[in-house]
Amino acid sequence: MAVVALVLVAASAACASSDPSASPPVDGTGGAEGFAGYQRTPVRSVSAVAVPSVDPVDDPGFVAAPGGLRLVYFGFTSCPDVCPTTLSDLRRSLAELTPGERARVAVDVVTVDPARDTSAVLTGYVGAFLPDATSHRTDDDAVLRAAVTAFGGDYSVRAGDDGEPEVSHTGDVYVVDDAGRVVLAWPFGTPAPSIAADLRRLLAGERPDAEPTTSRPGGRV
Amino acid sequence: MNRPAPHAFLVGAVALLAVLLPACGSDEPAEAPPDGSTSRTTPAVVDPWVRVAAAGGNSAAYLTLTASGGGDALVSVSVPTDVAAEAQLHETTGGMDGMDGMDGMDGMDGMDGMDGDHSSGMMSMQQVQEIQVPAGGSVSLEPGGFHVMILDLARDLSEGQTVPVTLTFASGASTTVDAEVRAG
Repeated sequence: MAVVALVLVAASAACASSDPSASPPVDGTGGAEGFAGYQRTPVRSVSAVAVPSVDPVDDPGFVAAPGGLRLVYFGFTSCPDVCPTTLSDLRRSLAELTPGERARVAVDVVTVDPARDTSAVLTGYVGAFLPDATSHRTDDDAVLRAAVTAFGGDYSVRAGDDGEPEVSHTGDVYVVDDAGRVVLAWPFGTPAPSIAADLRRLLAGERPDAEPTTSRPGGRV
Repeated sequence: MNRPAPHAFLVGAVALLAVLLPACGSDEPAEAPPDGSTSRTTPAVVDPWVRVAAAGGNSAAYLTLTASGGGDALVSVSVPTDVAAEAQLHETTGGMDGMDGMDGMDGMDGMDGMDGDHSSGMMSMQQVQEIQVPAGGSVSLEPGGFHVMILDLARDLSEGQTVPVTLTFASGASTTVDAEVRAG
């Protein structure tokens, strides 16, 4: 009888394999000292790189204002999934800050697809998510490549089978401090409340200790 | 020696499973006739939504498909031409958990390789031919994974609007749902 009972359990388990939450949430772990984001070793400096901003009157490079932070994202506007998800998450996380905190955080979006992202397209797209963000683009791939590499990111644009460009890019959002150091990065899917919590700690002066050895933050989830 | 007894139980167990498993509801043939007949249960569409986007740009639709009965596969998707030029099934790969998105990425001569000093992985997007809905299970189209890519919007998609999205399955069945436009 014990075996029959076991079989019944097995059979009913087979019926119940439709857990709607089966896909695990991306929790952004990678954790540097309890931060949702991660930090690289050694800490990268991006003070020597720049991509021109679309609006030339405001081109501060990627170094944050004194006491502030810059959030830098490399994306492209025809991206229907990853980029808008990330920019929406950023918008939501920034909305959780106090006005005083929010005023110390700047956002920069750099296109990795300048051929399709004209200045007008780029600023319209970015502005729809974050009206005060600074848009950056360059037609000089060497300049773009140097900037992305300095952040530890990567991208590629190549012709797909249908002739349309296929763009790949690192989906992380980087946090740069007023010394031009990348003090934290959030992988794609880091929830907005976690981003907001990290921002508050960073704005309060906390910094994650660099992770000792790993170069692949968080490992496989 | 009482050895044969477990075997007997095992045989009984297998027989019992054979009887019980079909009771899960998958009593329909694996390959239903592609005649669009409604006798087959079309996967249920849960919480369909579309992301806010501007005319001329792209957007994405997300939803969950649940098959209470037999499995099926989502094979095509469409939106009215007054919404967008085209809709396709896509999957985003890569990201934090590895280099999945790096597969087959030739032509990247400028890269200095995956020397461990690179990012946590590039993300890319591919068109897929179908999205399987397992029998008695579900599949989610969600940010960072499977999604409906909506290309070349004919008009702005604003919060509060709805967009009719037609889903066609391998079984031949199709259904149209009103997806709510959200800021995402």
